[in-house]
Amino acid sequence: MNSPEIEHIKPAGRTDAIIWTEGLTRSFDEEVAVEDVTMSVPRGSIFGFIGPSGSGKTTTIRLLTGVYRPTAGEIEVLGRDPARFTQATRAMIGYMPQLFVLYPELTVWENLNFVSSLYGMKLRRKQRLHEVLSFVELDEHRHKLVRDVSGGMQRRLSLAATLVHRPELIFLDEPTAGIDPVLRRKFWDHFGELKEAGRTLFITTQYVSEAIYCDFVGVLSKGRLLVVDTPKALRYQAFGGDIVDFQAEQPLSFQHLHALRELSFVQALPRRVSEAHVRLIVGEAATDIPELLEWAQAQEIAVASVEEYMPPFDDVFVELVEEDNGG
Amino acid sequence: MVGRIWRFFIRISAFLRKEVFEVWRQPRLILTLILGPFLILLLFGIGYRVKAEPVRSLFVMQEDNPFREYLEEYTSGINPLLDFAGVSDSEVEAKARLRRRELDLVIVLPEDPLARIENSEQAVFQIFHNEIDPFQVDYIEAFARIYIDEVNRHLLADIAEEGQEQSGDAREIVSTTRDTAGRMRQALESGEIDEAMRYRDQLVRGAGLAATLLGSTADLLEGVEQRFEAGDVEADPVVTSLNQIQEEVAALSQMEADQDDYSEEAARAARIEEQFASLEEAMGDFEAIAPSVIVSPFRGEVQDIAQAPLRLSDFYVPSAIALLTQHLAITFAALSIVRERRGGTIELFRVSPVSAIETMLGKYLSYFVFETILLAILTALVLWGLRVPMVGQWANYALITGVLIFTSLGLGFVISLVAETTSQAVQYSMIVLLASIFFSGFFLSLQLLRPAVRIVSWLLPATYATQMLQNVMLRGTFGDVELLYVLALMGAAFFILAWLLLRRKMARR
Repeated sequence: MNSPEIEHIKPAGRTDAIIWTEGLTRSFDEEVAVEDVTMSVPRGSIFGFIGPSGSGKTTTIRLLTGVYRPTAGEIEVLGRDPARFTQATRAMIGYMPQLFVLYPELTVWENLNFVSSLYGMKLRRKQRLHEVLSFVELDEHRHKLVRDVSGGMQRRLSLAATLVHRPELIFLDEPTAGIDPVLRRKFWDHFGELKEAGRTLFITTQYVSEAIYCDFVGVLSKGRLLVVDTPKALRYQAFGGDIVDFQAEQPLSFQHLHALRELSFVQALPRRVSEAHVRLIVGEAATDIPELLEWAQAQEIAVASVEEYMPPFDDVFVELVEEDNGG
Repeated sequence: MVGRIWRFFIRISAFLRKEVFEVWRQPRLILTLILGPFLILLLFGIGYRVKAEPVRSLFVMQEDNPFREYLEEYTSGINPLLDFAGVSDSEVEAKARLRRRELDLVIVLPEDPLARIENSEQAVFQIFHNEIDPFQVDYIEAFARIYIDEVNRHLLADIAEEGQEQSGDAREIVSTTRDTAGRMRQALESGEIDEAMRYRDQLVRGAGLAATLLGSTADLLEGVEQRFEAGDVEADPVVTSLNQIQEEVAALSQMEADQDDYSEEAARAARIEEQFASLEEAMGDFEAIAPSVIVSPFRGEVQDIAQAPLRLSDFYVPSAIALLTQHLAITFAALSIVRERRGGTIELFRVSPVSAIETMLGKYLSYFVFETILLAILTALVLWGLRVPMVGQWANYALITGVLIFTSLGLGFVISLVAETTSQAVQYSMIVLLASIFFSGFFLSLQLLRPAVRIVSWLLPATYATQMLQNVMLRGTFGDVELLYVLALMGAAFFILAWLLLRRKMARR
């Protein structure tokens, strides 16, 4: 299989990665929550950690932030073992827990002020607080008690609290869980801006479709990291090549289908969508689509459309997990 | 370095502001915390009656019982304590009324008390009650003792009065005998020896009779004087007079009708006359003593040397302040960290640069400030609202309550770190409160507890504070300063333990 345009990532070196793990394992009694995770996250990237509920995403974040101690394996975050984090190292990390943990009896401003103090920010920080609240569009709600604001606003406050001290490395544990699609999109826009500002984001999510916003994606299932790659490479890896939708003007005969399967660049013909519409897997869509058109012309088939199909990441994820399960 | 120290204080201050704002946002809670205890103390001060309730008492005796006519008189001395419910001749009916709680006491008098006493046996008053409250049982028993003492006292007073009346007869004999001695002396001086011999015989009989009548009383008085007078006790004048009279009379018995000289006998008769005169005077003094004084020669007068007059509610105020301060501190602290743990904020702390010691100091500081404000308002309300005296120094009051808050917060934080849930933390706090009510000396003196149980008392911060605050507020002295040292040491131990536990909770797991 030839795939010259797919940029598979090479593991960043231990020295140039902001996060580096090897054989990271964590068990709780007899239950293995995270098993043999090896990965590296380059600085200034968005690393998406995707997996279903209970797959070990939060445990991995807790291992990386120094909340948990690994049962086996090695970790280096910001060049240090989390067990040896200094206060200065911790001040370089931002962490947004999965659930809202701030105080409902305090206002938005007071909560943010509290977190700022936890990070030892200087007392003249009013401007920074306004800045970060504006970033998450909460500045005009700053005097409201948190118990009186919506769940979405609470998530935004959590994000503001994570960012207020300008961390270099940001861990976000399912930041978009349970919020509406519009806000989710806004969150990812914010994450993009942070990346542009040179921050590194390690984001866990259950929404597989959000993988598209990431520079690198790690797929986690049952505590094991199935694959780490770019979103495009993952898609390719999931289906064994690019997917092309071929639609003819008239129904395709059995002979046409047989001939299609025999073409050298066609990897598989997984699905007949309708009598005139088939979905093919090819080595590389960009070079193989012209060849497909030539073949159709030679076969005197009137072509309605030929285009690369981008399957949703849910499908990619299912493919990868099933593949891992031997399905 | 300066930056690090500065950030250390910034992180501590985070908790101060957060905790104060959180509580400030709950005005109803603040009102309850301040006004609740004050109103309870106020209600207690107004509502608690020191005066004992009169005991409704029914007497059971037969119609012919000799006590019947004296009953009202015998109960008059304890009238405020006894509510005379009448006399019945049926013990069964009286007990039935007791069971129905119509009466507090049924007193069954002995059937033939005089016969028993004459038989050298005590006559027993049977006293029945139907109380289940141990304190009320104690009161009833004390009341019964007082009542029986009162009956005995009345009886003795009657006997003493009778004795005094009899003493009047003896005095007449003494007076007659003294006259006889005078006539004998005159007869001797005028040489009427036969007449003198006749008076001598009358004198010997009169002196013997007086000795018999007065001897036992004189011995009794002498015995009392010997018991209560320190050092060498002079012989009682009655006893001395009687002894001297006996000696002189014995000598006069030797007088013969044919002696040459009777001057010595005349002198003896004159001395006997003088002795009887002084005896008569002493008897006059004895008769002047009230019978009630004879049977109850002593009574007590109690005076308080405290600097301020105290009401019952005043006594409870220092212990109530100690108990409330301890309870509030423990409850606030106990809920504090367990709430952070349950809410997940502790995870935020674990990832952030804040350390266990900074968290602990921040929490201590915030609740210390909050508790101090609450206590200051409560103290002002109690002192000016209930007019409870403050005899001692305010600096001592502040020192004791400060150490109490510090120690109680430590205990609360330990509870908070041991408890897994908020309801567990509340339960533990309530157990400490319950133990404090019973064992801290709040309403039961520590002296009433067995020494082994007092160990529990001395594990409670409120015990130390109660003792010290009572001394400072009501006596005006600090008392035992070692109590403060031990309380402070306990506080330090709780602080270290809480810090170690929190460090463990915040460490990598």
